[in-house]
Amino acid sequence: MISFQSFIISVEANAGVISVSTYGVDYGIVFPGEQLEKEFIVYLATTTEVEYIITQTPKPGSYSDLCPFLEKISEEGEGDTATSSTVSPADPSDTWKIIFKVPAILGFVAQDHIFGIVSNGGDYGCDIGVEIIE
Amino acid sequence: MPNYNQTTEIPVKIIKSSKMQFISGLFKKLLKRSGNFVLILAIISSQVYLLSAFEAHVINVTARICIPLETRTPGYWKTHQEVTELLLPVTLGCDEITTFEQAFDILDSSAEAMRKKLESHLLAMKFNIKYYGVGEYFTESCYYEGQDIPINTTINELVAEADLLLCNSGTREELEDIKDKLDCLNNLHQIRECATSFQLTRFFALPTVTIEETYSTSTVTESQIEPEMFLLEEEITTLETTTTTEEITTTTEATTTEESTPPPEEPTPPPAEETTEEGTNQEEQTTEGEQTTTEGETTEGGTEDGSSSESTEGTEAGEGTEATEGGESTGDEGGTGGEEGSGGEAGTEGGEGTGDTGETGDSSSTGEGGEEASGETSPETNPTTNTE
Repeated sequence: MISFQSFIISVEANAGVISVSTYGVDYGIVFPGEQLEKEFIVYLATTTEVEYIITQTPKPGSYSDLCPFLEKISEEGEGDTATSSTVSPADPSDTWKIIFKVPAILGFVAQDHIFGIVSNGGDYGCDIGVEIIE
Repeated sequence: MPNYNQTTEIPVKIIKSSKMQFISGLFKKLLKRSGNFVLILAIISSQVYLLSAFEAHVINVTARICIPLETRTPGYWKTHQEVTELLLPVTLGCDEITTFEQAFDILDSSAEAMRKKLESHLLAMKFNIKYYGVGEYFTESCYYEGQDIPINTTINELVAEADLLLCNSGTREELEDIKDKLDCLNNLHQIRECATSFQLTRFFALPTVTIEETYSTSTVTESQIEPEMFLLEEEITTLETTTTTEEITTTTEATTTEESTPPPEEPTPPPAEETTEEGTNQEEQTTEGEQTTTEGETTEGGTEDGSSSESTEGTEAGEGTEATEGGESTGDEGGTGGEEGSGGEAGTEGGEGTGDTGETGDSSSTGEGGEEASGETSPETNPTTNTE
C-alpha cells in the first residue's frame, strides 16, 4: 500500500504536462469594425505527447459575452484545431492567434459593417480554456 | 418404484429487523470481502480527478467595446449654416443665442479676450452635444497633439461649468483652463471614450473623484506635466508680443494654445499656383493651407453654395492639407459619419468623409463637397483658423 501511494504521488508531480504563455489577454478599448489579434502559446512540459482542446466560456461577473466574437487559429499549419490539438517532443509548442472582430452596437451600425452586432457597449469578457484530453 | 420424495421440516427463525440493519449487514460483508481493493479504487479515483482539474489553463480575455462619437470645431459650425441653424436656440452663459448671425459672430470671434475664446468653444461644444449627442460621455482626458489634458467629467458637466464661469465672470486662469478642455475636445473629431460616469462607477465601483486621483498620481508624472505648463506659459508670453509674421510659425504647435494666436483679419491670398505646386513640405503646406483656407472661409461665409471660383481654390488648399494631417481624421469621419448622422445632415457628413479621403473620388460632390472639404480640413490642420 505504501509503495502504491508513492506511485500516485509521482504522477501528481508530473501533472503539469503543458503550460500556456499568458493567462490574460486585454484588448483594451475597441471600436466596431476593428479586427484585432493577440497570441498565446501552448508549451509541452513533459516528454510524452499530449492532446488538448481549446474551449471558451463566458466570463462570469459583470461582463457581457465576448466569446462569439473570438476566433482561434493555429498559426503553424500543423492541422491543430480548437477541438483537437497535440504537442509532442517533436512539436513542443503551438502558437495560437485569437482574432477579435469587434461587433457594432445596435443603432450605430455602419453601412459596411460585416462583423456581429451587440445591443450594448461596455466591458466584454471570455474565458479561453486549454484542457488536456485524458 | 421407490418413493424419493421425502418431507423434511426445517425450523426457520424469523427475525424482524429493519431494512437498514439488513443493508448495513450486507455492506459489512462486502467490505470484508473487497477490503483494501475498494480503498485502493477510491484513492485512484480521487487522484485522477485531481490530475484532470490541474490541467485546465484558463486565459482571461477582455475588451471594452465603445462607440466613437464625433465633434466639430467652431470653424465647422460657422461655415455650415444649414446644420447650425437647426440647432438654435442655445444658451451660452447667461445669454441665449437665437440666430445664426449671433452664433457666427461668436464662433468667428478673433478677440484675444479669454472670455470670447471660451464662448466660441463652448458654443461649438453645445452644437456638438445637440447634433452628435456627446453630452453624457464621461471623458477621462483629452489627448491631442502630444498633450494629455485631464478632464474627468462628462461633457455635459464640463459645459455646465463653463456656463457658470461665463455667468459669474471667472478668473482668466479658470476661463483658460476650461477653454483648453473644450478646445481639445472640439478638435478631437472623435471622442474615443465609451462609458458614461454611471457606467464607470457601475463597472469599477469607483467614484469620479477616485478616478481623478488615480489619474493624477499614476498616469501623469511630473516630467510630463512640467513641459506642458512651460509650453503654455511660453506661448502666452510670446503671444503677447507676436507679430503677424510670427503667427505662421505658431500654427504648427499644439492646438490648445494656438487659438490664442490672433488670426489675420485681412486675407492674404497666396498665388493659386503656389497651392498646387507645394506638395512636399508639410509645414509649408500647412501654412499655405491656412492662408488659403482663411481666404476660403471668409468667402465661404458669404457664399455657402461654393459655386464660385474661390471655393475651388479653397478645395485645393483643403486637399493639400489632407496629405499631411487631415487625411487621418477625415478618414475616420468618412467611416463613421454615415452611421451616426441622421437624415440629410448625415449625408453631408458622409460626403465629407469620402470627399476628403478621395476614396470614392467624389468629384460628384463638386462645388459643395469641395467647399466642405476645405471648411473641414482647415480647422483640423490649422486650428488657428477655427477662431476666425
